[in-house]
Amino acid sequence: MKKNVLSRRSLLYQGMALALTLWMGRGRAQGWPTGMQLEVVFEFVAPTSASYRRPYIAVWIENAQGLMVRTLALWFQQSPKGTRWLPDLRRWYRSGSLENTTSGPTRPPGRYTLVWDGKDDKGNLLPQGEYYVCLELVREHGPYELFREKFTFATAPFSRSFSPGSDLKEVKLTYAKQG
Amino acid sequence: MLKTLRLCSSRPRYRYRAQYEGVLGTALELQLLTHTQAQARQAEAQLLLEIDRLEGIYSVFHPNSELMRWQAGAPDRVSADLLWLLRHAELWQQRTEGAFNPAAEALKALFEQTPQPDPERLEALRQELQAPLWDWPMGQPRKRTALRLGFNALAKGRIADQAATAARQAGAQEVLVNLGGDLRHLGTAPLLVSIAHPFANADNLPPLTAVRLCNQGLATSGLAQRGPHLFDPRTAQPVTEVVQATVVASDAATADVLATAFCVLPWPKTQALADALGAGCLVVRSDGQVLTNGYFERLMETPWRRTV
Repeated sequence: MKKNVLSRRSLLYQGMALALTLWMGRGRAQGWPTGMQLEVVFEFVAPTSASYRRPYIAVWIENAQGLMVRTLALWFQQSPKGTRWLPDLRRWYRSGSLENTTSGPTRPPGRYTLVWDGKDDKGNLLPQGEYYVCLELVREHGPYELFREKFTFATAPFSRSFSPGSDLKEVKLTYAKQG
Repeated sequence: MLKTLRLCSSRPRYRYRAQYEGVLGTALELQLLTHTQAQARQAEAQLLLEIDRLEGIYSVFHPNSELMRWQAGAPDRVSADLLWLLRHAELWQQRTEGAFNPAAEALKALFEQTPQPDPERLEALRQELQAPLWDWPMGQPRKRTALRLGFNALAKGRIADQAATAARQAGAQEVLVNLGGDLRHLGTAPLLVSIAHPFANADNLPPLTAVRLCNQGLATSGLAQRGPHLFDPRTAQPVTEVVQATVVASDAATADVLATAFCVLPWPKTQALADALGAGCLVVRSDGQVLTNGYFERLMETPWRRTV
């Protein structure tokens, strides 16, 4: 006697098996390798003067399709127009205390370090694969620069250095086990 | 009319924040609260002028700075600012029992030249460091040692103090000067200061802890940014036990010089000196142990652990 392949029970079992296979396959083949992180060290200089205002900087990660998945840093300076509506946050603006700051061992000028732990902006781990590391820099009356390079983030560690030139002196990427 | 009312109001209305790179070989962050935008601009200008002026006196990178000319034996009478530096350097050398030494750079230079220097040469240098570095014939300082002197561990804090005072005198109500990690706050409203983590010091990682700072100075010294560059002038050996020291004191000059000394001194001496001076200290040892005195603990804002 021929078995009814579309019984309610077999459908349930097969469906669960399929879901489990997909879930396990996804976890095994594509999950972010445990403990791996990317360190982005970048250094910028202004060739013309000894001291200068820090440029506007954005550092972020895009997936293989070029969609932004994680912002690592967005640094900008105050200008009278740029903060036009800041005073309208009235309670905060008039609180009378200054913004938070950080103390650490004396740092060299223009050299910063950011890390990416493989998570997106919501804090979810992304699958391993190809991603773009992007760094955009612009200085008042200075040049505009964009660094955008694609790398494979899988189990293999890597270390690469770039000298984009102009204001952006060096970008050093190290993908390795944390700590 | 409105403007007059605004000026009379005790609460400042204008916030200003700027970040510079390449100031005294590091980065500068400044924050101001003023009544008007014009006042903020004036205060910023005065603050930057004061930094430039003191750099011309204290810098060891410009051969024409007053400090370098004095070291080269120039016969000029020294300025009040250089006198202040030399007098206080002497005082701190005594108070820290030699853990702060303006000639300690010579050790760094020697170790850079030869990673394992000849013990006899090292001992000779150690003795040279213990000898008086300058004296005061007829009330004027005269250099006695052949070693090059550098006062960065005191001068940077002093510059932060003086720059903040210049901004205050130009009308700012609240002033923060953060000179590459050495801070001075002038004002009445406390602000939160994060302390960089010595073992995970990327700029987007969580800090070690945070403290409330009010009308005080705060400085951190350690190995995270420049690697092993600190030496114990009393033993002529590199500092290995402490990886980072943070100090909160009445001004940035005191915090700065103590942060350097606390990287060198053993914990009981650090704690005793900080307590005697009414300063707060946090020391992270290379094994991850975190040590604080009672004053520092009272300023801390965030939950923290004894080991990191």
